[in-house]
Amino acid sequence: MLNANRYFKHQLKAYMRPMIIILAIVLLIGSGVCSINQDSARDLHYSHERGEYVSADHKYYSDGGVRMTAKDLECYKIHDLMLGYPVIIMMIMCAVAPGWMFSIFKKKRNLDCFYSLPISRRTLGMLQYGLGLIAVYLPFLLTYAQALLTNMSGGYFGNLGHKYILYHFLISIAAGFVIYTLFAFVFNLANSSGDGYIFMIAYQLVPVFLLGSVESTVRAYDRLTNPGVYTYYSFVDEGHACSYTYFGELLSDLCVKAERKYPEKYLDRSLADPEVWTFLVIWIIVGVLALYGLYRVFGEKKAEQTEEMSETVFGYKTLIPLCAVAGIISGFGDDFYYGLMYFVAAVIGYTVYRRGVKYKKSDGIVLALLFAFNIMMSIVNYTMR
Amino acid sequence: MIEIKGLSHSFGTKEVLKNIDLTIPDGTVMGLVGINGAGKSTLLRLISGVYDAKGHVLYDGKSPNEEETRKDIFFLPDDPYYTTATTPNKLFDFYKTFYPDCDRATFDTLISKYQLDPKKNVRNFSKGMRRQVFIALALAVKPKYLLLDEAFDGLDPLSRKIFKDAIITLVEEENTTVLISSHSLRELEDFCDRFVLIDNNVVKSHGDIAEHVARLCKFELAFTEEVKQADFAGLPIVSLDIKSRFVTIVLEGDKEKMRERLSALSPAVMDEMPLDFEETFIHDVESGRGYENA
Repeated sequence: MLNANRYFKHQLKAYMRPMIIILAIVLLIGSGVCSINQDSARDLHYSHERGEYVSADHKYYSDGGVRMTAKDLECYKIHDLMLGYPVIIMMIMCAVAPGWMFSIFKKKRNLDCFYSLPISRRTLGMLQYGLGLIAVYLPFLLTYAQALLTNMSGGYFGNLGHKYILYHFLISIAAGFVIYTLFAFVFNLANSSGDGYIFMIAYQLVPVFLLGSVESTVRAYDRLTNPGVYTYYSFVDEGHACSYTYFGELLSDLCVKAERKYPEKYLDRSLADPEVWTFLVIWIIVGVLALYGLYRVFGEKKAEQTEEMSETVFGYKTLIPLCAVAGIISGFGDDFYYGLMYFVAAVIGYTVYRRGVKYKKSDGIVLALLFAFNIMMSIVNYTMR
Repeated sequence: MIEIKGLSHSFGTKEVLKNIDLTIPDGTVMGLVGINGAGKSTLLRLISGVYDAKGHVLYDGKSPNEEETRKDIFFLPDDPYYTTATTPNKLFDFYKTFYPDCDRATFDTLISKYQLDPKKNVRNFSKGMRRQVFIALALAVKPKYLLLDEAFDGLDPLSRKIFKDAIITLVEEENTTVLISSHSLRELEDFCDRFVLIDNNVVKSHGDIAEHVARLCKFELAFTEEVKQADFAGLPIVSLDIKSRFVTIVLEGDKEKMRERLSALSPAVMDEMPLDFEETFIHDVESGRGYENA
């Protein structure tokens, strides 16, 4: 434990210089963002009748065919809280930190040193994870404080929806934890940094593909059972399956609420949607599971696998066929060539996986099955027309 | 004491080490030798805990996977880790976090002997200079068990001497057990007590270097008439090189007895030639590949 403390302090000191540079850049850009947005602060008037803001110029006049009177309007001094900027910075750091913190474990020569030191691999990995969390949260917290202080100094703070600022802040913290931990987990599943970055992107996109394929299947079933009647069936918002788009949208909505101080009865539809909050719970569970997975990976990963092909079942092996099948299924209503596109993508995927055209027999079998599946789906699709 | 029992390791389907048994007593300087790809580095990684061992590696009965055990171990790989902006001083600080007893004076002395600038970026050093920095670190840590891979790689003769002297001092003062892999067998012969030869995935031979060298003897013979291989039948031949009337022969066994047996063949001239560890190594390795009597 003593070694862990000393290592953490040493690494903190080592990361200090690049961290200070990052902080200086984000705060400098932040001050620019603050000054620009501060100038754009303006009075806006909320129309209960229209359920939206109207500019001051339209206060007593007809706007879009609707006549408004002073009675219909509530006047709010609205101001851009600039809370979007810290969130963007945090989201960027969530993607940068895994490579920054864990790429040292992706080279055999580094592991000769680290894995022979008197500190357990698990402790070493979790300390690097902790340093990554600091890299994610520190720029966020500072730019958040910068934004709030700018608002307070401009005299706008009293007009804001404080409750929503708190929600925004807490959910931002949760978003940072979930996205960074998920990225850290999948990055460490890989045996090389390159594969790690590919896994990070794949784990953002593949769940969206999967949800899309489920929705396509449901819709196809609907068409079969109710021929001639087209019903748009939205199973679930596909964007919720991507941590970036989910948290991005949720935080953006909360930011709007915080800025414009809506009356409670005019809650945004997205915030009133139970699906949105259900996904928050799901994502937090995903984050906790990813943290547990990370803990396991650090303890179980073998040094000799480093720089080799990433053979984990959570990697290419599963992602490529899963993504291709989901893509082909989501092509219901389209033709053979649409599915062929995913087949070609799978071939490219295996080429990246094997670092060349050195396919294994199992890869060939999977590709043949994917091709056959595409033909089968095309026939099904043709008979359904 | 390091005890290795039934140690095996494979990379995929390729078996690199098979059922290695070895005991290294405390205070021993043991040379680890073998041809390229024999598995020396893999063995060191298994012993140091970098690779998970199939079999047993025990340091005074304790596993190297335990943090407490690792405090006593220092593994210096052939290509050690350093960050792009690091200096010898920063490296010392890094290792000091894990080995609090790391001795600054020893480090400074060796850095000074090697005439290195402790504040200069290690990236700008030559391969040999980088090696010197890490050797200084390894010796400053003063571990109970020192594992060195390709220890002399890139070092000039003077640096090698400084290094060997420092190792001898370390063993004398701290009773450190040193396991050192190298292809510089003449260097190993200078200061290693024992050796272990890894060949064809197994421990081919091990023991005292001097005894190992002494079990072989080499003679150069000149005959008045052309000789054939059959003339030497019955002798314990390790290697035999016949060029018409001239013969170079390496035999296994007592030197005097071998001299007597060769004298019975009535050579016109018979000279005993010196044999060193490197030559015995070549004979040992060749014999396993059917090169003997070639």
